[in-house]
Amino acid sequence: MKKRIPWGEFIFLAVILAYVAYYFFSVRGYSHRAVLWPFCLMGAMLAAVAAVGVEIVKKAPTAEGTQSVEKPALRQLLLKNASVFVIIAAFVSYALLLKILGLHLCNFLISFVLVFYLNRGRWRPALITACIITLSFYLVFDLAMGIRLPACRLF
Amino acid sequence: MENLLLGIQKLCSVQIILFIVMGGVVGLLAGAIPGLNDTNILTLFLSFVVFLDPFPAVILMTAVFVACQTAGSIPAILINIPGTPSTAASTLEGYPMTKNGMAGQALGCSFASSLSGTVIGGVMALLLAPILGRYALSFGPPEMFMLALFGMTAVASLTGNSVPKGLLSAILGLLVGTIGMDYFVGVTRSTFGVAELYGGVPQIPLLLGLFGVGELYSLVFKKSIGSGDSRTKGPDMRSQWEGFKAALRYRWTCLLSAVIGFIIGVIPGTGATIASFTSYGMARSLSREPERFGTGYYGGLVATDTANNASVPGSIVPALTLGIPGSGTTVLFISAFLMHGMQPGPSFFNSYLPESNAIFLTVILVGCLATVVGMFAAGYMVKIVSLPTSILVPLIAVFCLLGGYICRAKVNDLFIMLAFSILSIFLKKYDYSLPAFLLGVILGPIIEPNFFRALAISNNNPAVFFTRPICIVLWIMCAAALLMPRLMSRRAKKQEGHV
Repeated sequence: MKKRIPWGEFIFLAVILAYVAYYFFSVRGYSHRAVLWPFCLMGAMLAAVAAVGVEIVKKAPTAEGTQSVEKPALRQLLLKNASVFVIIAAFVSYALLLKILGLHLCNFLISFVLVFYLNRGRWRPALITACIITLSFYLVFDLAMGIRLPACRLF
Repeated sequence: MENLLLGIQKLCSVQIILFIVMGGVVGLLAGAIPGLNDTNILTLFLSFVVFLDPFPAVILMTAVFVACQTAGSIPAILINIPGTPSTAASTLEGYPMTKNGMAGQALGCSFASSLSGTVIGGVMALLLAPILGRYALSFGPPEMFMLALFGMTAVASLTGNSVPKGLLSAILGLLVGTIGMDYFVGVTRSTFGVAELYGGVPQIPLLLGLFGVGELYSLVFKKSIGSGDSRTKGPDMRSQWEGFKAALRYRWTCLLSAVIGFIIGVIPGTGATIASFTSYGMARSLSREPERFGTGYYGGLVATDTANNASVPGSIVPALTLGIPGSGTTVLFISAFLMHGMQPGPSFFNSYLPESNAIFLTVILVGCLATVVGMFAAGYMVKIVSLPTSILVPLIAVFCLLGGYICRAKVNDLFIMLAFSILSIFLKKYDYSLPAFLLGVILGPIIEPNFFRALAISNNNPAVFFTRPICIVLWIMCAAALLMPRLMSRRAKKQEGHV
């Protein structure tokens, strides 16, 4: 009986194996004391991946048993998970701009962007929430706790 | 006794009392928010407690941990949404009671059970932990290696739906734990050329990525954290007091559940969720009126909430005495100690016995505090459930980013956090155990040196792991942990067949 194999999970396992391969080649030639334990783990990892692979195939539902669902196109998949990409993009931008704009301005911007996105383009609540969050973080961490927060190049 | 008094003395400072109250209140609020569990909140806290001394830091974390468990029952009882995963069992009896118009009584009963669970569990921890600590001193490197291996195996096999997937997560965690400078030769391993990884994977970005940012990805898809109705009415004090008194009538259920909760809490990888469901099943099988279970029965609620709270001190015991966490959340306790350069384990427990006692006393104190505050504030706390994610998401995001950055002031730490958050998406999506992965990363740097030390003391003879009595017992326990899920599922299938 034909089975519906979850290829996404196999790709995930392949990425793990790729990491193991990178690890193996990056430590090849080192003294045995430095690599014995990682090599033991790599061996165990290969065995675990094989066991999981077998389990996935065994537990995969049969094609006849499940309703034929059309696979979502890549574009649809990206649109469905747009929120996750927005968060990742916001985090990357925050990390890149932190040294330039400083912590408080970055806090304001990320709060504004996230509330603006989650409230579907309503800028007023976004502005108010961002101001409150930035101000409370400034009051709590900078003034009350005295934690030295990073200064920026601009001011 | 002397150490107990010293422990009380340690707690008698304004700063510590302030931290207990603050942690208790924050824990109560956080526990009442479905979707944010104790692990998430403690992770957010962890990045800031680095700036405190180790003892106040752990006291603060203990307070949050205990209060979270108590408050998790509030939304579970009132709106059928557990505040923390471990309070899922409270919905079985709590929500039917609410539907029967006994919300106040259910909450009162839950608070009384939580209180007795924390008090009995705390006392048991105070009595048993020193014995375990003294016994643990006889552990050498092979035993420590085996103990860590057992902890990993137990967590890997008991926290997910599939043993191979749990083991894969644990091994991946161990492999990630080897990243950085090697102990013996001083070469760097798998650092991708990133200087921030030379000292190993930084724990705070790792934790924030896995639990803080990882949680954001699922929160953005929801409009509000719970489907709670902001118009849900809070219960009055009188009915809560009625429920409180009713719970005290179930003395034996309470005692048995506390013992079950504590023992399950001590076993690595189990935690409060398993404790509360096991205790519920046990109470039902021993009850004279099992048919009343599931219809809003006091006895059932007492069993779940007592066991749930008793497992908290239980899970802290192995973390302090053996350096092996009893639950995913107590991994964070170990992290907090490690970040301050202290290694929890046998020697730690004997060197810091008054501090360890103070931690268990905090559990009892916070249990009492959470009950009193909870009874007064339950009506208001239920409103938190209607908090929109558009406010919560940016707040958590800023907390994570700030926490990830301020510890070492390195921008690359934010990218490391992001990388682990992306990994957490896939681990969650394909049902791999996140606690097992985390435990692997945390225990990795402990396992490897003990592995080599054990080989060194035995002239490189691996038989050292199989011939010492404690090692043999630990091998048997590993095998039992691996076989347990299979036996349990077989038993469940058999029972289904009978029905």
